[in-house]
Amino acid sequence: MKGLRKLFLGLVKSYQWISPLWQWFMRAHGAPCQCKFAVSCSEYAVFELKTNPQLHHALGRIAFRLWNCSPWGKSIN
Amino acid sequence: MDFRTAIAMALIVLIYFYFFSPQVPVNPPEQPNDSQTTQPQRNEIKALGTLEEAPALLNETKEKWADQVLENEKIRLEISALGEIQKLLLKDYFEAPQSSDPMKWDFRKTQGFNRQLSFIDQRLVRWTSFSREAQSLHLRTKVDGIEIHRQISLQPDSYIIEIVDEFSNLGDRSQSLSQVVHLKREYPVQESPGFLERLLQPQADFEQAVWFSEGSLDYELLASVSQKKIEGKPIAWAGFSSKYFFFGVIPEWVDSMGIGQIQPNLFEERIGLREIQIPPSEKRTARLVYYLGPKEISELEKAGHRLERVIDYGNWIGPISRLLLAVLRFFYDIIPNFGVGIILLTLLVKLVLFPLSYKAAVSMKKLSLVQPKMKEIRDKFKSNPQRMQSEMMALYRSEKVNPVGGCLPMLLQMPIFFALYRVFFTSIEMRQQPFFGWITDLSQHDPYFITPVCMTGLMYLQQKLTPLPSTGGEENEAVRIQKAMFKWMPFIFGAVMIFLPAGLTLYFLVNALLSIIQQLYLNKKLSYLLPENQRELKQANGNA
Repeated sequence: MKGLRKLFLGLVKSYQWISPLWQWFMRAHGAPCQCKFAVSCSEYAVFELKTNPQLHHALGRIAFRLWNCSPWGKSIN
Repeated sequence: MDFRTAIAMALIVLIYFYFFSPQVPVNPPEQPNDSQTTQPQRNEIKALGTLEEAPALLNETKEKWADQVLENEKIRLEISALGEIQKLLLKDYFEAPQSSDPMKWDFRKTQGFNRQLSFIDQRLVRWTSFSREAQSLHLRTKVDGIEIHRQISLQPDSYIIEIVDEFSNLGDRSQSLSQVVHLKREYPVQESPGFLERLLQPQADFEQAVWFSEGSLDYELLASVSQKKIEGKPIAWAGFSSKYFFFGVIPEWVDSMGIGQIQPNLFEERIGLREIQIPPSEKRTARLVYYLGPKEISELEKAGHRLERVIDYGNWIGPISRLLLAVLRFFYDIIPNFGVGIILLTLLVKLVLFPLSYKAAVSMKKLSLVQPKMKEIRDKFKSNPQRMQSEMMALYRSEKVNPVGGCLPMLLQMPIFFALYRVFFTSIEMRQQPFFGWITDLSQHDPYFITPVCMTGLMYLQQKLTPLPSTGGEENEAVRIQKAMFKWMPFIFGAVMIFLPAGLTLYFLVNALLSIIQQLYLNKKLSYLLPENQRELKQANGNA
């Protein structure tokens, strides 16, 4: 379980390294994008993976958060 | 620039070239061994064993008949009486811009581009009579009671050569027929193109052995091919493909295919056709189509069998690329200059995607205005992300901020941009097409590097004008990497673009220019959101 947790953490960290690339890419095309949530999904995922004692609970919360981040997720207004 | 930023940027360059360059296989393909040989393989090997005797027979046959010329509006072929293509000339394509020398290939060094051998009960068929009509050649022979007629013809106004063999069994026993097609290509290979070579000369014309199977295009770079055998897969067509031209064959009933280097700088594709039985008093026809011409969609489509897929636009973004190319051609029909077409297409894409950009810009502006409040919340609830999130949401509601759908709608545009790159990077339409002044060929790099330098300057300016994404007051390492990347990427990208086709650079140049105009417009349009303007607006409304 510990290994799995580390694997997910590694994946999220890798994403955090890559994400500036596509953010720049979108900016270069005049389409800058902005995270919907102030604690970004990746930061939230790192927090959950580090602090939630139950891995499956952490993964569930991350999935729920990602769904909310999508255009079909809950509206803010 | 710190170490991690440098690594992140190196990663960008790697990803970029992974996308633009053909990939060299890491492991050599597996060789089949005798114990694994299946029945069809054994048949082919047996047939090829017979082939060892064939050259002498073929030479003897060839001496009887001189090479013939077949010609239509697009192509001129010198072809042996046996149907082996010796010389090829494409009338509509020229060696260099503003040159009147048509593109030519001489296959005589490899004794023809193609060789098609038929075997009746594993005995090589030798032709005994030859005749010629205006646009077709006819060969006839009789082997063991089977009458064979081969017709070689060039289809009008196309790059298609058709070879039809008709077998009539006049005997009283069933006979088996097998055929093997050999395609040969001479290609000087020093060594496999390395990363640096691709970096410095990414427009290099990489020659590949390609085949189309089960709806997808497969390939092997000739620079790195050793031996490969493909079996048990339906192969629709195969051949040799360079950046702009394809020479290949569309066979029927492929049994197996082998690719290999048979001599230094000489490559061969060997296509074994499935053995067929010809019962007594029955006829069988075997039809082969060769395509030797440009990788132009309309021409490739004439050959059918989805031959247009030889243009590697990618499986996923291919349909978008083809649509964009059709739009580009539409613009070209109105104003016959592909440079102008690129500008119009970029403008059109920008207009279509503007509503999304506008929404994103509004939400970014609003978020930047509530940044101080967000920082307060972040500091206050640092150890409780759940609470921080709910407070942020409350702030969004009270300040009427709606960051639409995060980055996903923006990311959905990505395939369009990748499809555009592919169009400008790989389409033969760009080849030797002038724009204006010093840009005489949109498929080659700008000879004076003016467009990449201008593009870099405009990109830098655009990055300066575009607001940074709100981080809610957070200044962590990721944010620092992001800022450094935004600052340095225009220069890295400019350096990468130096040797890329001028058409692609022109696209980025126009895109950066349009993005600046768009950003200036948005900055002006969204200035009403600024607090001072809001106050003025309220005062004006109050006075009214």
